[in-house]
Amino acid sequence: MKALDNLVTSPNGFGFRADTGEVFQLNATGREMVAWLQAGESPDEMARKLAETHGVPLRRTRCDVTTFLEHLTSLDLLDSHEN
Amino acid sequence: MKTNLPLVAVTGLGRGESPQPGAAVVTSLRRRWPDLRIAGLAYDAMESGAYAPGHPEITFTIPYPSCGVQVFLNRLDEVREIFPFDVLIPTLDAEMEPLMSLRAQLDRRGIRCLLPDRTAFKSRRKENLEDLAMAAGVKTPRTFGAHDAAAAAAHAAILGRVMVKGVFYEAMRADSPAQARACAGQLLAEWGGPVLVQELIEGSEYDVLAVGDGEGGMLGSCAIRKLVVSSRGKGYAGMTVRDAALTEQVKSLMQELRWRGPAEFEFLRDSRGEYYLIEINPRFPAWADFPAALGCNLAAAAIQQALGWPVESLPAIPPGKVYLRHSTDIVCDAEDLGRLTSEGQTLLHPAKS
Repeated sequence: MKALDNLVTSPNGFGFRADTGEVFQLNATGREMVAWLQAGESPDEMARKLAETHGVPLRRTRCDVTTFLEHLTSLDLLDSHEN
Repeated sequence: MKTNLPLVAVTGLGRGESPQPGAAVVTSLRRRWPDLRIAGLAYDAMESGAYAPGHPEITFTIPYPSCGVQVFLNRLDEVREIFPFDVLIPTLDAEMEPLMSLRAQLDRRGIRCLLPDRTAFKSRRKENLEDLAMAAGVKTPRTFGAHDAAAAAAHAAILGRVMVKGVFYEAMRADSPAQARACAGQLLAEWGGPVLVQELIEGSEYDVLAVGDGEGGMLGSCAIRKLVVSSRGKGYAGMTVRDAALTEQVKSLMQELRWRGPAEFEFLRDSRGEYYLIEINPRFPAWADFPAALGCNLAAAAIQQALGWPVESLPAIPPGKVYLRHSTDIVCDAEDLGRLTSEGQTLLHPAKS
């Protein structure tokens, strides 16, 4: 989780890595999920929270969380073993 | 304290297409000591920093060091009859060797000059960078020196895609030996030899400005990622970063060099996150005032060190601060340009920042 710990996000969704200066744009849900990951939440817990917050089936939010974690991995923000 | 402030002279005031560091250094020093008296030393009356807001109170023209060190020293003596500066801050690469050869004469005149030790200076030269990097445990691209275009092409045939670098300035990318030959020919004609043929590393550019204490430590540093790079390789925007791996590499290089004064360390970071040292500039960079604007005044610290004054601990700079270089038009009187051109000095109206 080290790289993700270096990701600083602002309320408007602009994010940058404090160690490398790489910049990202996150939507509201992405910002929410990054905050949960930085707080140490598990993918299952994140999916549960998303389902509750947005009123969508758990099977769908599990899929969304997996896709998001894969995307973070492709950006080197997560190691592959972390998702 | 005000009466004890030294008189300072700074070179490299041009802020055009290829911005020089002097005007940024002047701005940093004025942040720390608003009443500091500063003279500009210009090679050309068109160096815009002589006229820009916050300009030195007086600017003198000086001859290029290539005219000979004695001519250069004679001009410094003439300048000191009018403005007896105590500290000289050279900011251009080509000034360093001539000034190092004048160190004893400068010492005799009581001039403190921000210059590194000669051994350290040589160790960071482009042709010695691989040895230095190895000693410091830092990666650097494979590099060969070439004294003619054919040799540059032969090295490129071994290395693949390369950067061909001039001995002092400029770097050109070459994707084939034929291109390397052409680039080397151009750089040799412009800057002399040797050119350096360096393995191309694809990645983002990172720079670290640091001031060494001469004993292997640092007074302070600022690391940035270049966000915008001009066609001439100049950083036109940068963001502060805080990466322990990058800082450790600079500390290790400083330790190895026992560098005294300012230096700019240039790195590339590849897709695997590995840093490669590509150059060490023995001076402040053109973005020298960026850290000072964030509370870490490295130019002031360098002056304090040169004068043997205590240097207060410099704050760490937060990541995520950005500078954007902004070109603007300076308005001045033709009379001022004329005085600098024909009389060799111009005393301008009180500096306004």
